[in-house]
Amino acid sequence: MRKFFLVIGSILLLLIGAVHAQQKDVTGTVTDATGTPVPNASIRIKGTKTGTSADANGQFKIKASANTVLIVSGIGFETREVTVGNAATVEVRLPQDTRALSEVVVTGVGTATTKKKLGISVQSVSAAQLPAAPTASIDQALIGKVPGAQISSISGNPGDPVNIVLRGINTVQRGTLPIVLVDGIQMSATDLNSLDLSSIDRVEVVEGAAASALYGAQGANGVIQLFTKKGKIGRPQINISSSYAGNSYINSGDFHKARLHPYLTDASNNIIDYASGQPLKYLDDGTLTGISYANATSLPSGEKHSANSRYGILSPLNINDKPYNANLKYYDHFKEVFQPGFTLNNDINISGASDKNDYFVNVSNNHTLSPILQNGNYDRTNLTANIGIELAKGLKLRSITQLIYTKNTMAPGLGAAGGIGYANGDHTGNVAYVYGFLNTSPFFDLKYKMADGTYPVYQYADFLSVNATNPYYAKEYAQGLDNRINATQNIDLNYKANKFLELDAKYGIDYKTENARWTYLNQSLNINSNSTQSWIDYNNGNDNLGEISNFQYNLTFQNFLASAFFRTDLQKDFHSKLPITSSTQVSFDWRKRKYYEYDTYGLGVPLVPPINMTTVGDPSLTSSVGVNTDYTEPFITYGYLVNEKLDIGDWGGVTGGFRSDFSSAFGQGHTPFTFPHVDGYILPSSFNFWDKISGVVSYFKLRAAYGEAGVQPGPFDRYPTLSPGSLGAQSVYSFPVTAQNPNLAVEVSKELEAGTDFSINLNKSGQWFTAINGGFTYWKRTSENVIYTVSVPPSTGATGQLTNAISMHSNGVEFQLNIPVLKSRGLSWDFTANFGHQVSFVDKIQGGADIILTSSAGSTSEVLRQGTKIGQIYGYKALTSVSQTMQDGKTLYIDPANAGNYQMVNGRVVETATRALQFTSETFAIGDPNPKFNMSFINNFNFKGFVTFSFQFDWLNGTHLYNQTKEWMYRDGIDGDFEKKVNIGGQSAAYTAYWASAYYALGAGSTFSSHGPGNNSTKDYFYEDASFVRLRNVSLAFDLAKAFKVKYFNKLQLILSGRNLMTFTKYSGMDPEISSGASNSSFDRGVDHSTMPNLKSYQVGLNLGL
Amino acid sequence: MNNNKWVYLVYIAALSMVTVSCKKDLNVGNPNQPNIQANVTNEAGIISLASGGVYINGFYNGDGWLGNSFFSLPFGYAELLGDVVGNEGASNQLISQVNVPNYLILDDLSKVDNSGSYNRTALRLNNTRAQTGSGYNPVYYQWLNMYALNGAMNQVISLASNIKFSGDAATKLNTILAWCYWWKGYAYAEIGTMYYSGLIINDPGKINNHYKIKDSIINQSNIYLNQAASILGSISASSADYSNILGQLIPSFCQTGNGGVLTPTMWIHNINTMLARNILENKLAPFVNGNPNASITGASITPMAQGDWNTVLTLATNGVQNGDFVFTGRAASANGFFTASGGTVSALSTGPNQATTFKVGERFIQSFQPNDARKTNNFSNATTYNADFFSTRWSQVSGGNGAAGVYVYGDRTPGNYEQFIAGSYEENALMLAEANIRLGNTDAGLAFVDAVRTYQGAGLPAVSGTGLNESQALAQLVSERRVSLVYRGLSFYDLRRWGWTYDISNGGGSYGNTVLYSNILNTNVTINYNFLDYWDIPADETVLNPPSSDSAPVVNPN
Repeated sequence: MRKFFLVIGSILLLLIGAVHAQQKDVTGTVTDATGTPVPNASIRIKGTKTGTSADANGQFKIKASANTVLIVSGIGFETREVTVGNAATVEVRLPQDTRALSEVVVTGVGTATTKKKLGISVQSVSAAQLPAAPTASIDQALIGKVPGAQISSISGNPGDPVNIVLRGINTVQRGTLPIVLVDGIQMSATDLNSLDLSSIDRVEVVEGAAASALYGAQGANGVIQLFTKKGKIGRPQINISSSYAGNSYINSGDFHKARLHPYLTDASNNIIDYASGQPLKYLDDGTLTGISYANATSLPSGEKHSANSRYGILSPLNINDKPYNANLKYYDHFKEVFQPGFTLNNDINISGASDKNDYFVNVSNNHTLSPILQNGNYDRTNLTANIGIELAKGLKLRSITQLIYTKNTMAPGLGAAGGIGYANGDHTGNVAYVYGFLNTSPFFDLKYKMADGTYPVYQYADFLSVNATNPYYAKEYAQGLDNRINATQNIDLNYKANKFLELDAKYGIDYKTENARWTYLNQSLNINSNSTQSWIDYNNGNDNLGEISNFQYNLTFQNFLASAFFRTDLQKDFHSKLPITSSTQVSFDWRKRKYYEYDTYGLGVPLVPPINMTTVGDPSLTSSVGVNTDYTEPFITYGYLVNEKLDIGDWGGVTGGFRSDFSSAFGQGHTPFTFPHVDGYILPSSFNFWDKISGVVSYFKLRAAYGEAGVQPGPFDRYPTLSPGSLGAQSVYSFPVTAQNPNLAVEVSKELEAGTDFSINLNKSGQWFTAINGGFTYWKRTSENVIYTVSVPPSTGATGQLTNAISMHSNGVEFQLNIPVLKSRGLSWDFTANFGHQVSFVDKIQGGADIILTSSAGSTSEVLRQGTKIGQIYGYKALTSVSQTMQDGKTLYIDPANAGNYQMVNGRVVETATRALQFTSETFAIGDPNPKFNMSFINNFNFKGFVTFSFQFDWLNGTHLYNQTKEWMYRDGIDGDFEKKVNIGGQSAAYTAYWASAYYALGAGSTFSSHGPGNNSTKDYFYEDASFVRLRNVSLAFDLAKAFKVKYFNKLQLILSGRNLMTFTKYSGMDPEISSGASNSSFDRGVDHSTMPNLKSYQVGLNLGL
Repeated sequence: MNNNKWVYLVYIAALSMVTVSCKKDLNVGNPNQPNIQANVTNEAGIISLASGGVYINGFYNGDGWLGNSFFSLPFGYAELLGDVVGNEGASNQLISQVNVPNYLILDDLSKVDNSGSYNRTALRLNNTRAQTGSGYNPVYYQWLNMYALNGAMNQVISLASNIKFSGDAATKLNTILAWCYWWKGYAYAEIGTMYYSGLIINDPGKINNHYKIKDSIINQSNIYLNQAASILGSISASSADYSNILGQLIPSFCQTGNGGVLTPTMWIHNINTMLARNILENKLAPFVNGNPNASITGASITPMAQGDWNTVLTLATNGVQNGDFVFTGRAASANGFFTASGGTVSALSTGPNQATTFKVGERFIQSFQPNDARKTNNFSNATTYNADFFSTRWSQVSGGNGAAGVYVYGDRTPGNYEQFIAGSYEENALMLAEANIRLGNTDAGLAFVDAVRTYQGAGLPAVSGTGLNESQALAQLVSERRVSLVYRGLSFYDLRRWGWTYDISNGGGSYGNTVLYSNILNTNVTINYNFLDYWDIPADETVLNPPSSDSAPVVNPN
């Protein structure tokens, strides 16, 4: 209290002093370091409350005396103090504020607040910090920029979404995707990766429930808020930019097919027919028959397999050491399929503003050629218009329009958009035929054409290559076309009635209409399709006459938000002595989402054009056209928010409030769920006692927050239904396999976060390492009532019931450190490190039984189990010691008497005679694929304002991937590993039996089986460390306009950049970052199964500013 | 402030409009799907549920793995274990391991040992919930489908009594009830014939954990089949209300060929065939290596007694007659319950052997008598599928080779292939044949074999009256059952009761077999299948519904 009076007293003294001084009119200009005006900067006379603000051109006028000190501040700039002196004009240059303490954020706080006065952790990233990724999309640009957030680029297929986990896993069925707001309005019909980077001014991210409690029943996964650029006061600005990027696929693990083989050959190394001994020749349909391994399998146990069966690979005599140098050649399928593509980006925007109005209009186009066989294009055009109009004094209307047209011509199976449920925004493109070519034996040429010039669909050789599908065939016979239009209109009517009251109404409608058509041509003239009875299709399993599949999607999302803010400053408004400012927010928030899908098909496509729904017809069917899906999904939620923020001088503050939500998805009636929140901060550095160290630690804040937020149940989870269907003309009902639950509650995530923001001056007067600025947050959360389908015994007639069944908890830390490494006259070097660590556990499952999960990534086994981390992969372990026991701790796998029959190879137990790896016969939790931590290192160099150089490394540590891609390629022994020699029984050779046992074998000792139960089962052998360091971004830009003062241009910048250029990893697959599971799944994220790897891009660009 | 009143008004109006309109909008329901309270309230509703409960819950849901119905997956296992079809390439659903014999002795007397990965090991290692989730647990599907069928019928029974039927309401209700009882009887039969024990659940929505031994489950089947028969006995053959209801319960595209609206009498015939099957398939009638008096030890079932044969004879005499409609399934061009290319084990076996999911096996083809027209009309030896035990020279031709009047085993054109769901004329006739032969009426029995061959257009000379002894007659019966009842979900049960799937050391085994091995055609191979005779209960049930202390074993002790 004593300090309080001191402050008040000194203010009063200063006031008196000011009154007595000689006053004059002073005009001034506020500019940034480069001389560009800083609009709306605030100017205050030190020691008083008197002040003004600069206009849009940075000009201001104020009455002051010669010894008056002006405190000049602007958002994003460091505050400067200048003494007026005798001149009538002052020029103030504000340096960039690297600590960003003056930056104002709104996400999670309701009312705009400077970062200095935040009790929660809000991350913000400005446009300047976002790299111009070739995708020109926000999601890619955000990777590594937000401390704590795990944003991963999980596929290199153009148009695919990224995976985002902000803080821990809070839900199982609803995924990890946070809600996305654009200028305060939720966007749900438009995907994050459709939004154009060039129209975004900044991004704010709140990661946890403590901060996102304002968003109530949809906030638990956090919030990403984007702000559209606005026109700035001054003459109209025109910016034009173009770039070209060449893309190739990443193969950091040198993943390839075996260049050597173990097949039966003659003296000239021709691969020969098992029966006739003649060199093999491709048949007319492109297939092979008669191939066999060199030796049959005959194991000491009596187990035998013929050399021309798939289990011939298990013969200890077969060695993978023969080159493909005679009748059959080796074809590099990766080269044949993954062909370099390119991306073109073009963008033009015009912006400007007057005192009352402002405008920003941006048009951009992104065009990407698919790197899968260059089979199609992904083309996106964005129009953004942000217009502000002052209708009356204090009444401002803002309209933000986004129109996005996306056209995707990639073929189904080769990256296409489409398929049932696609427009929900959580689907990746269909790349099914990547699996097809990965599992084709390398002695088949994918480019091989049959006599009539067509490609074979199914290139197999008896027991080999049985999972093949030729992507060239798909390119020849399948066509995809997806057209998507997103139209988003936000209207914001803001009324500042007086200094106390502000009213704000926002309405946004986000609409998407999307049509996809997949055409599979008539394949009935294809010799291979006929002889192998194989073809490609989506609906037509009956014959190879082809089909047309149509998918029509509509998604409308509306958000209405009405808020009233009451603000008071007790000192100013009521002449109170208490330096308290209060901001009260009362809001009503309404959201409605409607998804509609209508899918039709036509079977039997004519051999000659026109090919459309009127010409389809399959003679074997009574009806060739039909409707697959006619589905409507409405969802409504609304809620009330009350939020009160109190700030006490510069010393601290507290915020509290609650939100109550109603929802059409909440069970049994419409009782609302209420989500409370409270947070506070204190600034020890603002107190007197800090003065002694304020020279070193100039800013120090402690903050803590508690909040609750929710995840909505699925829109229909609470409505018990029967499943409709038809049997011929008769409509029938059946009981659903998994039952809904009328009593579902919202999933609630309760979070406590605590942290600090600080600024340490290291070398105030020098150029190097002047300071360390940082923010650190620890968080801990529990998630209750998590909904999932809990298995029920099948004797009930169903297999599962939706239940609020799971309790989870997670915790983590995140921090950002920013170091201005060098600040000299010409050169500046700024370094930022972002760190995040998080871990999530399943604490309790109703009933206690494991929940068996289904991975979209194939057969890898994933399970939710009480007391373990979420996302665990379960499977068998390779024995690493001959004395290994079973889970009972005493039964030995290998009888000590037989221990001499085994040896260690690469740290694992191998049976010498069979060359086979030995595995457990019981399953274990193999591991949790989620990273221990993720970290990014960002360096920015600026030379005299016209050369900028930046690069960013991303480091994921402790992440794992189940290499399902490789496991499948072990089936036929075509993975590159099969070339590698191992020393078994004193002989070093590339034994097929050794490598193949990783796929086929299971058990050890008495439970050992060389083949059968082990087939493709989940084993730790294929569970790999996928930690990596990636050079995410490197960019060198040279601005001719600034360097040479080019006329008419305020920017003439040439940029050379690269993305994903280098990857350092031990992972043996193509790309350690990919994940083949469902997009943004809570658990399905640790499997690599035949997904298109990310792209490595070299980009050249030109930016013109007029 | 006054000037800006309109601003406040707009805000307040907008806010109140939205608030008022909100609350009633929250009950969005699920506009895509029906529910019991609103939609199963009348005759049409209960018929829709009674029909969908059978064909979708019973025969479709949960089977979308290899193929897409009960007739591709559970029936597929029956044919795999019956050594009719095989596969070595695909691991899915364990189809390449579930039927691997313990060992073979080839013509050159060399032994091929598969002891590491044969039926028992594979089934038990994979009977976990996690393996079910990964799609590798064979014992799961039949249990799933049949309890879904049983559960659906329990619900329909409880709902039907509240429905107001038009016309002859009692007959309509009875028709629905007969339908439900028949399918409950069918479900219990499929459970009791495949699993060592089961659960008796007759109250809708209720479960229990008192696992009963398979004989009690078969007994439940018999109870419900008899209950259905007794209701049908009360329905007039000329009742239009009966045929109207049944005509809607059976999908129209199945009402062709042997499928149709059964008269009450025909339906009772079908019931008698099922009752006979319940006895025959759940007892031993060992016929190992040509020995009609072979005995098997270590089996979960006992041999047929004289009385059992007489009961089978009596029931089958009143069983399905030539010309009776039976319960069948067909692929529809759209909106069916299985597809023409994948919905049946037959469809999965039709096509060039290198490309099909299942390959028609050498042991199946060897079961044909020489010059059987069915063999030439249905199978081609154009390509060879190379594997170990499952190598085969044979492929099944879609639609057959066109011989008039000869049975066609597979047809991938929608609607052409007729899948028998329950009994058929052939099965009933061959039960009569076997019972007669076993009861000493050899020629009377063989006459039924001849009748079936004629019925299917085999073009074979009659065997009745040719002086065959019991062993020779049984060889004809076995041959005919293998080839005429194939793909009807019976092949495994036949091999089991004849003793072939039991361990050779227990008196079982299969002799004189054809095996193409390493490109060498062996024709006198001894196969020791040593299959688990009755399956363990799936872990999905026993883990989530642990057996009570008075329960029968849920793991086959034999």
